[in-house]
Amino acid sequence: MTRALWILAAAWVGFSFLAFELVLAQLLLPLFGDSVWFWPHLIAVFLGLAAGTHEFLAPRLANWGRAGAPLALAISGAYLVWLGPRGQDLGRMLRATLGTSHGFGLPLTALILALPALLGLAGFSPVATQKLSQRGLAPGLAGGLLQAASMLGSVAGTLLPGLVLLPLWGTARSFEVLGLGSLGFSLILAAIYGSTSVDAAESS
Amino acid sequence: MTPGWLGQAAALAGFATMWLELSFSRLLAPYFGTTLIAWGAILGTVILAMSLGSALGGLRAKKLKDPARVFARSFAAAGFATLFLAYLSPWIFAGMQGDMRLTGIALAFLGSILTFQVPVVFLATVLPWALAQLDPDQTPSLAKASGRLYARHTLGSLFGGYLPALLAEVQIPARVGLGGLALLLLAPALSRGSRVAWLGFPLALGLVLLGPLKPLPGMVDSLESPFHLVQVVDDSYFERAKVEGQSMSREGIPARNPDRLRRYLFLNEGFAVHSIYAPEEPDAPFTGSYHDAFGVLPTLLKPGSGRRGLMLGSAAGSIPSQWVELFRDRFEKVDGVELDPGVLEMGRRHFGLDRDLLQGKLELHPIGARRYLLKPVGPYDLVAIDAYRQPYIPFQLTTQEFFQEIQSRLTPEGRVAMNLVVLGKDSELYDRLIATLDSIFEFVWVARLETPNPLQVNCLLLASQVPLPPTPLPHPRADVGARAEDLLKRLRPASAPRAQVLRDDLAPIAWLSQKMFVEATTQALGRELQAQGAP
Repeated sequence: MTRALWILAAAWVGFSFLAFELVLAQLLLPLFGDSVWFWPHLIAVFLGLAAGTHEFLAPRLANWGRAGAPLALAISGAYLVWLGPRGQDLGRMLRATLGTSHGFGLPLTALILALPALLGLAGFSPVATQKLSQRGLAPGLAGGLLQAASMLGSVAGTLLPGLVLLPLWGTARSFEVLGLGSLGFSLILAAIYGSTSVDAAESS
Repeated sequence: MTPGWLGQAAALAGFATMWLELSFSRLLAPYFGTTLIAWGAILGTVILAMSLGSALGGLRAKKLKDPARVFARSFAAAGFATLFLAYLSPWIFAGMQGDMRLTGIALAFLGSILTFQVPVVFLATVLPWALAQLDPDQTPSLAKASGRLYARHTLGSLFGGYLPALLAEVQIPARVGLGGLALLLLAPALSRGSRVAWLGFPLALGLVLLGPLKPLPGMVDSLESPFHLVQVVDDSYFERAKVEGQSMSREGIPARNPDRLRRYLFLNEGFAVHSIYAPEEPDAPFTGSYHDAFGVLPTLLKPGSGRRGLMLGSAAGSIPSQWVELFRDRFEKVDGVELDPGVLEMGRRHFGLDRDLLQGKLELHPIGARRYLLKPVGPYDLVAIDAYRQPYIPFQLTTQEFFQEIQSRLTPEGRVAMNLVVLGKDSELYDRLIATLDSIFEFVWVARLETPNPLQVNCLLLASQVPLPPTPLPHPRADVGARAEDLLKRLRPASAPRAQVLRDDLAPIAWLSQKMFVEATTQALGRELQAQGAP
């Protein structure tokens, strides 16, 4: 049960990661305009934050025990819900402060707007790999399964924003939908994973 | 194998996967364009291939006796697959594009993309295999060790995302770049003394000798810019394309004297003609396309005004050149804004943008429209927008905020004009764009410019805070006056009070455009079936 939940959560994280990137791009394009560097910068910000989180934050999250992963998802979700109605204004404020250049202002604005959400999302996979390994799965199999689930979620994350989220709800409400999803998963993980029996099973 | 090696393998896999993903889009664009659907399909299938590779790698993950050899073979397989696909891409895409029925296109599209995922599957097996080499008993923190491998993979992807953009910026063809990537992927096998891997060198070097990504009949010139495959053809293209079974028709372009110089600009799949240059025609600089209506817009400005004009989406300069040529004495300066520097380069080479007549009057800016408007520019008497990334207008150039920015750079009596392609009779896209203009400007008009295609109309949307003049300004050339009179007669007040205004937050242009295409195609098919069924 909990193994399936971890895999399902990994799929949600993959979905949210890609969907957040596309919705954020939709927020930033009108503010900064297009250029050949727009997408490479945005991809770099997302991948750079993910790499940093994998390297530095994930091991610490794993050490927080049962609270680590749900808390990370909860922070990410709460931030996205908060960002929804404020994204445009915050983007304009950052543009006014940091400048409009695509070499500095754009990547830094993207970095600041994405940081809180991505810390939670990107910290998830390594923690989940450890948790599944503790439950008897070989690290290669655990990593492969989680990676596959996360990528399947990412496929939906590339398609749904353009086909459903953005046409129906626009950027503000899309952020909120993504945030509420992460909050929901964090609550379910906290409720199930926090029970004594699961802890006992893991510790054995 | 040391953890350092594992990290390098993970980084190379991430780097190559991202490079391949971005290169696919450049190889695919000349055949299927860069629509949202094309991008979604590329991203989706790349991720599916990664997913498949990860799952396969995870299921077969075990402690390997000679992991370096297995990794080298996996990379070499990806390298050779990359080389073969770089060579075969034009044949694969052109062959699959041949069936122009809707299901045929969809299947061809998916088939083409899936074919390209072979190297990605090989690369995606690397990360789970690398994770499998971690020994849980000897690794104090699996989360830390696996996190480090994920981080290397992700960092590799980050650089793999930048390099294709950098190569495109200096106009290195995508297939040559893929040759370089293939050699990099063959490096581990070469370092282990593999003889087969040496075959990669002549194959990669051969890519440099290949011609344009998509040869066209009647082609004058071709270049791969950071955004598009930019191609220039002469007038023989249309007849020869028909003979060779290619899809492009002469929609909107009347036949002229074939002995006179005429050049056409195509981008990517050639869905539309973006610029026309016909300097030897008797009515030059008119070209016979919808550009001509935009060309006479300065006659609708207030007498004495018309000192500065701005063209957003100037392409190779058809419309701003007409303004300068026809109204040279009135315009102090015309600014042409074009996102793609490759298009401007073609404009200089083949569309006369460097000719003396335009010197000192026409200034070209290789920059996106919204970025240009962030600068302290203007005020302008006339702003025209013809920015299509086929088949859509970029959403950020349709919103209330965008038109507010334009209005703030117009003189009090200035006018803004926009080209909108409409298919069929009713279109939500049209209504919402009218409503958006109406929310900013006091007056909105539309002139419907018919094309030879009965389904398609080019709408010239015009907006201003002041009414239209009763007659156009006089012009020394009689044909200019006649065209201006015709345009003035066609312009009708437009409003769409119930339509929702497009905003930066919510402007589903791709969705509205697709809806319009589907509705128009369905209506046309219905009429055709009805006609066939009639006694």
